[in-house]
Amino acid sequence: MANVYLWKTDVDSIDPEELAGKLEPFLEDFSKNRRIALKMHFGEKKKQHTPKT
Amino acid sequence: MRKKSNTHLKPEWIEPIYSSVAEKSKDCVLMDCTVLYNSPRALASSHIKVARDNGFNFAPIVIADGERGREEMMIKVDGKIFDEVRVGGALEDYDSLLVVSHMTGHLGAGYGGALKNVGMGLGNKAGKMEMHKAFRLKIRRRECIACEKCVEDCPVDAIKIKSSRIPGISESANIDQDRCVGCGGCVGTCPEGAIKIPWTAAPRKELQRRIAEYAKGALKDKNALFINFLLNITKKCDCVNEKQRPMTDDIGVLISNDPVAVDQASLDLIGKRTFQLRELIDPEIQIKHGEKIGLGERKYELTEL
Repeated sequence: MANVYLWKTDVDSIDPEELAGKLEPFLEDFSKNRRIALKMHFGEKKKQHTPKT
Repeated sequence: MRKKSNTHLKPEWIEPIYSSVAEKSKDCVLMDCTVLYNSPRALASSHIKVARDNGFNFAPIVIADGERGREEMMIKVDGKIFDEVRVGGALEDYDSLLVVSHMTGHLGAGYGGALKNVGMGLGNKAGKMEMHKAFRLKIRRRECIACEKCVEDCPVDAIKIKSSRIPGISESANIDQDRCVGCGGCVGTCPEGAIKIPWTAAPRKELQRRIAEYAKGALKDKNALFINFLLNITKKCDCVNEKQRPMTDDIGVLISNDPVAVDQASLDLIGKRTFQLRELIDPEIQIKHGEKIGLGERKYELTEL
């Protein structure tokens, strides 16, 4: 059986440093002396709003 | 109800994670691949610019399949569909993958999470084409105005304007199904909404199974960890260039070393019916197939941090 860990939070109250702290025990073993690609999605180009003249 | 917002993960959430990993590792980069459809992210240089413009300025960025998405590494998977898969070539330089995913709904794949982030996300252009081959788009000729916008938008020149035999319609767009890769870019481009994705279950089931096999390839022999953000959970994925309203309440952040388990737990917490409101696709297909091909297990124990 796999292990999954949950940190309950929400968009308005998430603190990035607290998040990193919660993840730290997992990142410690995972990262040591490794060459790591952090795979993510950077989002799309933001729509440009042209002001009306 | 929350206000609409841009949906991708916020760079300020990722930066401390990156810093922590970079401090301990030999090397760490942010990674993605080019996309198949008409977008600045279709080329590596403009993809990196989008990332920088969206605030990802704190780390080197590698677009693993190169400027035009042609650099690749073939990986044997011995799957039910693919013998081998085609992922971004630069992946070879890294022994570990930290997969940071935003859980969202997805029109084609049922949902987007860790498996889709890795499977679809790390396929190079040819790989993405193989996965999207599950779909065959259709044009409603009576609605087509032959404006050629879809012709200009198609990344593989699969659409042409041809004369029509339908009474009252002189010409309309036609899709060469052998060339079409099913990326769906034209669906959004058509001003008349004349191009339709056949939302039958079969191609979407097939797409999910293909994604799982690509995920297996990208993760082969890698040390891997998966972080799923169940925040600002929207109906459409982060590729959609529009502000969206969340479909449900925020839940939190999940972490696991099993990609199947982390996605299963994510769907269980969100409730898979959340992503089935309009589409009758089962979003668990990619998870079930992932387990079947040995990518991980659906049974998990959830521990609150």
